[in-house]
Amino acid sequence: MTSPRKTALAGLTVNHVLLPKQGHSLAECEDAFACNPTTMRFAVADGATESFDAASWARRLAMKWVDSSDLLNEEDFWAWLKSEGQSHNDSWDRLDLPWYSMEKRRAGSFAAFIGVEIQRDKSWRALALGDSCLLHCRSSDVLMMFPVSGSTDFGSAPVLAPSCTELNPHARSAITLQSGDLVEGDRLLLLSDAIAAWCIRLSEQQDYKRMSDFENLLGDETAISDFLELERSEGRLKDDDVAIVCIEV
Amino acid sequence: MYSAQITRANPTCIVLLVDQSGSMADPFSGDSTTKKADFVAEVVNHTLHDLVIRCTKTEEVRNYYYISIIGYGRNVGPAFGGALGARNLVPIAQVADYPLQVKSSYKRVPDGVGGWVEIPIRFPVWLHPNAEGKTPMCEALTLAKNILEGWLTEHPRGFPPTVLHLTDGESSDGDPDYIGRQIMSLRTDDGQVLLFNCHISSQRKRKVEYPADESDLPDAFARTLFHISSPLPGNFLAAAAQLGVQTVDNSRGFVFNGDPSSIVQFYEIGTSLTGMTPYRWMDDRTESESA
Repeated sequence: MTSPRKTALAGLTVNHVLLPKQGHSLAECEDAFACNPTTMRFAVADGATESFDAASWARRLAMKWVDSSDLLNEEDFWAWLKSEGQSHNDSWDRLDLPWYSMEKRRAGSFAAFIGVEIQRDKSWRALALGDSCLLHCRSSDVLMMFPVSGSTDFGSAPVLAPSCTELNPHARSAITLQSGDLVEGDRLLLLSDAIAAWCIRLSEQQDYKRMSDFENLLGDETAISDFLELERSEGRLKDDDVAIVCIEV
Repeated sequence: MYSAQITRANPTCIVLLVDQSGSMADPFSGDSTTKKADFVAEVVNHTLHDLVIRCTKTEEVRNYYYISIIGYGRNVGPAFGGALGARNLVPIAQVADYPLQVKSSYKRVPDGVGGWVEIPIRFPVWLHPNAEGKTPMCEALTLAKNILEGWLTEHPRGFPPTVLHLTDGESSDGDPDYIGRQIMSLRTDDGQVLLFNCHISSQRKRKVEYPADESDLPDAFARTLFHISSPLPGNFLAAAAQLGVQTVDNSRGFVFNGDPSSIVQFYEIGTSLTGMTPYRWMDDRTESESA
């Protein structure tokens, strides 16, 4: 099951897709995205499956970030992360959790995060923590991939956005920033890791046709779902949750 | 091989085979206070804790693993107690829900502003120390084989079962070579059953960890255990490397004359399965503890 939507926002066309792992329901999907036409912010977050309450942490990060302003530098983002993490952790501040939930909760929740803000002059600024990615595409070229530099960068254990910042102070230095300028026809793709690795691999292999097919199907719920399921079943796309936000100028 | 995804539909099985013979009441070499049986029970309890936590999805424990604990000494049989008593194989969600007791203690963690704060932590107990009788290793391995054969009939395609066998002495009921090899010959579509052996010693002897050949082994018993120890698949080798344990490509899941740290590493490596990061439970040792 997938949930694509097409939205026209202030001269931008925005498509978004959420597709859970094979055999899972949309409710079990631990990826999240959010779009806010007022702030012109867009975000994707990918909850770490092995961490506690990863899905709601990912949703919180994406939704709260697009509704905010600033938070596009390391210091502000880290302070915001600490505050949101505290709220997230407090939401489980109950006494009737079983011992294993309390133990799991102790380490907190983790998610990869990528957020981008588009300015009136069509420049963009992005912030990332983890292996969710932004691709700036022009025609059939990928002008920039951020924060990774190639398809082989996936698969290791990335530093993620923690809900317990005090236990993970090293994550602060893993926050990275990037910026760029858009021209008419450019696309920004925000992607969780599996689909990002797939897109970057296509770019590296110069498989422009498949990439073009993919982008053309983003607005069609059934078609994009079938396309991605086929990529999974043929082993080209890892069977992981998928979150996509595609912003076209 | 050894790459099947472990899911609720495709779970795997872990058998912990624990020597509970009388000699397990002896202390480790150079340590007059810690009995081997006490330490092993503690490590087994932490291992189960780790496995439960890995399977915890917020408020639910998913049945990725089915667990068997077989104790052997005066008796041979399932070592789970309480509500799980006498059951050969228990889904991890039920392991989670039915410990014998849950101990509470505290851990000091950074408070984020340069200081420390104590937070409560919980240690469930499933296995109490036991040390009586002889070492009926063959009977215990036979029970493990029977459990595995039943499991494999129902789960022919999943990640192969793992047997983690810990002992401090030689078998008192015959040569375990034949039954050990039978266990190692069982398989799923994803590979042969993994049998790993950890021998621990009360005497200060040179330990041999994860050898690839027999050249460093001191006697025939060590060689017997080596022969019935599976080579470590790649994921397990990676877990060993993460723990700083030296291995080579053909290293067997085998420790001889192990000490307490060998036991901890043996269970961490042995439960690392498909590349799962070993849970560093030793970091959770507490400043204060209350039952």
